[in-house]
Amino acid sequence: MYDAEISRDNPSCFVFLIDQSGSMNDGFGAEAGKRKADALADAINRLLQNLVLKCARDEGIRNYYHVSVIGYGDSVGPAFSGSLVGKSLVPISDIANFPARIEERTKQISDGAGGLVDQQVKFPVWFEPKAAGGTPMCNALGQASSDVGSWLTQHPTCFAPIVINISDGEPTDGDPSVPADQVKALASTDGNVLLFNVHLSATNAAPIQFPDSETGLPDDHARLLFRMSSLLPPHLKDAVQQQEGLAVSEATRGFVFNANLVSLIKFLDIGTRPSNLR
Amino acid sequence: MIAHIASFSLHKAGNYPDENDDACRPIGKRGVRSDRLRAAVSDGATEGFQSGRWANYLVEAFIRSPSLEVQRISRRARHRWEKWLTTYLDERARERPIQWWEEPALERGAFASIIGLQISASSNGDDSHWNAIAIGDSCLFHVRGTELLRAFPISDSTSFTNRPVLLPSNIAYIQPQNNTANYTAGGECRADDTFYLVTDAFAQWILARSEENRSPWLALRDLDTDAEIRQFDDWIRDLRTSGELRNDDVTLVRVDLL
Repeated sequence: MYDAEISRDNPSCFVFLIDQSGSMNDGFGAEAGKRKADALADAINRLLQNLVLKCARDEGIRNYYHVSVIGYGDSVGPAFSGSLVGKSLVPISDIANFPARIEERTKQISDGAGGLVDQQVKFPVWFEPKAAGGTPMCNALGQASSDVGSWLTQHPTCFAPIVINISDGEPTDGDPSVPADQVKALASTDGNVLLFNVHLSATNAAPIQFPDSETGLPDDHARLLFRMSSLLPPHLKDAVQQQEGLAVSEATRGFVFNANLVSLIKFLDIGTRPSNLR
Repeated sequence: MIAHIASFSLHKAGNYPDENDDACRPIGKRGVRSDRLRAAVSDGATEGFQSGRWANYLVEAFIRSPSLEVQRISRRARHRWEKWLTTYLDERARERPIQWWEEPALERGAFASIIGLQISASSNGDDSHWNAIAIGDSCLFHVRGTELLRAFPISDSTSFTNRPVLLPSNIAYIQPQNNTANYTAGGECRADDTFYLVTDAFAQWILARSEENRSPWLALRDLDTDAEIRQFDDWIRDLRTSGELRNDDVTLVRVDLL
């Protein structure tokens, strides 16, 4: 299980569920002056960029993945901007070729002599920050369930799809464990759909990353998100252990509570790591 | 010294033949009568840019280099790469602009392993001498009869990792180990000995077979001879289908000393 080869003939998919509720206007933990919505948009755009680069080969982009970004706030639906607006489960080559725009940003790199120099880098943007309305997480999970369900009828032997839900608060439309169970009940021959959850913090509390039990989780919402999260498959457990140096067990789940920007980016990097790209 | 050399290669299942990122020299079959022969295999990393091209430049540099020093061989290959890259970028600027997602790959370049073998005849008719260099996880096996005399640089089927040290086309990505570690081996050899140069997936399978005392050497020796039971491509496809062999590009060079 969770070892199907990902290829152009047998691609896999990622679905990102992005909280766009009003509270995403608030500051992001210790990141003084940075709104959660802005930091998250940067993280998602960088993640999409990295996914494209993983699929880049000599002849072009290989369609190893199809990707959805679903926003939930005052409405629920596909959240790409530009020419991909309204589209879900977009082939990664279309993501490569149709960013809404490409910004020039400044990155500091080593000058090789102990100092730093500015370097201009291209920063493609597909997803814009937004923060308004409630937190209709159940509706978003339902949409993920519907999109991934259709995908699986077309790709029944794919590497199990991965759904990553990123939110800063409790749902305003009911108990999310019911639609979460529906997502996790979907399966390819490779295994059940994996649902991972990221809870963004407005405080400086230390993040709780990849826990393997409810003990130590601060409240009912954290425990609920823990139970909603899938167990990590072996290749991701290895990544958590080897690259993050975190202890893992058979019960470790794809969940981070009180994530700051660093732990959010690390989580997205690990959660989207390919097992076996052909 | 008289030798017979044969090479075999098969791309990953599901990919096109021209997407094979392995390279070897010599290519095909040939008899050699010489005081010195060289053969090499290189495995271009899948994630790189034009890895197959870089692997080809490395094996070509090994065959032509006056010395067996890894630094000199990789410098020779890099020189050819840089000339090609300049021409390629000129062409692209004229015909098809570089896309944003190509820029990081172009900057990083390609990475590849190499295993290179040189056999030198002795002047007085005694045993010959072999030398090898290795960076990464492509392997050499020195076999006499059905006995494995030397496996280099990896001698245990459990020692293959996903992150071997590789030779980069961009000098900025040279890893410290490239300069400091001793990646050479050598010894005596004689008529009827066989050497195999093999890329990682098949090398790991060969070592595992050998460790289980299920000798792979007779089947390998008979490939492309009158005694052959199964053609190389069919054999590799069967091993992939049965799950015994990881789906990867596979390349094998066999050197029979006669």
